[in-house]
Amino acid sequence: MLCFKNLKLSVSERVLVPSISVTLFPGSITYVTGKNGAGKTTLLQTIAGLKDIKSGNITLHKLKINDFVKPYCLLAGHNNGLEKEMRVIDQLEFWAKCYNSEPMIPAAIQFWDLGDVLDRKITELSEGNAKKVSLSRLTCCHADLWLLDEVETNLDENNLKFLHYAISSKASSGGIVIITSHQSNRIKGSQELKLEDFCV
Amino acid sequence: MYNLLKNQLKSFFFYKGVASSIIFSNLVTMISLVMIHKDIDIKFLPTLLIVLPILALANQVSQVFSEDYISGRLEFVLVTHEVEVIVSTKVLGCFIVAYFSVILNNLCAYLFFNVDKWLIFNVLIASIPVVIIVSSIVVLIGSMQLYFDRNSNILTGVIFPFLIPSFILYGLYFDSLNPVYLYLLLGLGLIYISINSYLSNSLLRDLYNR
Repeated sequence: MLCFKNLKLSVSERVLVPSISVTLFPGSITYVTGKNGAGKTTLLQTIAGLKDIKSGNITLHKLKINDFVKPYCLLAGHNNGLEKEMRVIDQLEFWAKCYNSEPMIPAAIQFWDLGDVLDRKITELSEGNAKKVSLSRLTCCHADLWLLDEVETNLDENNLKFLHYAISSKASSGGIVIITSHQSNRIKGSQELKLEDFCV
Repeated sequence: MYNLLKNQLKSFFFYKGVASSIIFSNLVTMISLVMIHKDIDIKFLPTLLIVLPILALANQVSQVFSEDYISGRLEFVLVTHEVEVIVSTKVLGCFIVAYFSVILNNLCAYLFFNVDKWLIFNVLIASIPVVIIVSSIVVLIGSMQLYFDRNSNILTGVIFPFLIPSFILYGLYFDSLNPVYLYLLLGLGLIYISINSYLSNSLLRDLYNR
C-alpha cells in the first residue's frame, strides 16, 4: 500500500501541488494526469527518492520510503537510460543484478523479443528497438512498485500492447503501477489521478 | 557495489575510449623515455611515470557523470544505489583505470629501460595516494559540472590547483626518499578523499532538488 499524506510537490521555490493525500492499493494501476509542468514527473521522482520530501510523507507498506533499502521501486523515465556503446545483453545483466533478479533475464529477452539484438550496441539499434530494450528492464528487474514516466511515447501499437500486458501482469501479481501519460489509450481497470484536483 | 564497479570499469575500459587514452599516455611516456634515455635524470623519472596517466584521467572528467545524466542512466543508478556507493564506485573506478596505466608505465620502464627495481617499487607505492587524490578530485569536478550548469569551467579551474600540494610532496619524497613525505602524502590523501567524497555526495543527492 502506497500512501501520500499532505505531500507537497515543488520545483525550486515554485509550488506545483500544495498538498496531496492519496492511498494506492496493491494491484492498482494509476494514471497521473495533468498539463505540462503540473508535477507528474516531480511526483514520480519524489516517490523514487530522487527529490527530497519538502512536507508531508510517503509510506510504502506503512513504512516511510526513506527507511527502505534501495532499490524499492523501478523508475522508467523519459530517457531510455541506456549506455550507448554497451551491448544489450550487458545492460540487461547489469539491471538484473541491481535488483538481484538475474533468473528473469531470459524471460525479458523472450517477452520483448530481443534475441536478435542481444550482441548489438545500442547505437546500432533503431529508436524503437532501443525503447524496447529500455522497457525490458520492467521484466528483468523485480520490484513491487513501478513508476513509469511517459514510457508509452515512441512505441508502435504492437509494443504498446506488450507494455500494457506487462503492466497488467505486474498489477495482477500485487504490484503498484503509477504511470504518467498523455495517451488516450488506457489500460482497462486503471484509475486516474488528476493533479489539478489537488491544486485548489 | 561490485556490480556497479564492474559495469563502471567495463564502460571505462571498453566503451568510453578511456582504454585508448591510457594506451596513448603509455606510448607518449615511452617515447619520452626513449628520447631522454641517455641523459636521464633519476629525479624526474618518478614524475614522468605518473604524470601522463593522471592527465589522461583528468581528460575524462566529462565521462564521469554528465553522459549518464543526459542518457537518464544516472536516474536509474540513483534509484537502485545509495549516493555514497555511486561516488565511491566512481572514485574507485577512476583510481583503477589510472593506476593500471601507472603500473603499465612502470612495467615498461623496468623491462625496456633497466630502471632500478627499488625506484619502480617506490613509484608504485607513492603514486597510490596521488592517484586517489586525483580520482576523488575528478569525481568532484564531474559532479560539480553536473550540478552547476553555468560557470562549471571556472569551478574546474579553481579545483585543479588543489592537486599541487600532493605533487610537491610526491616530488619531495623522491628528492630525499624521506618516508615522512610519504606519510604526509597519505594524510593529505585521506583529508582530500573524505572532503571530496562528502561534497560529491551532497551535490549528487541534491541534483534533482535544484
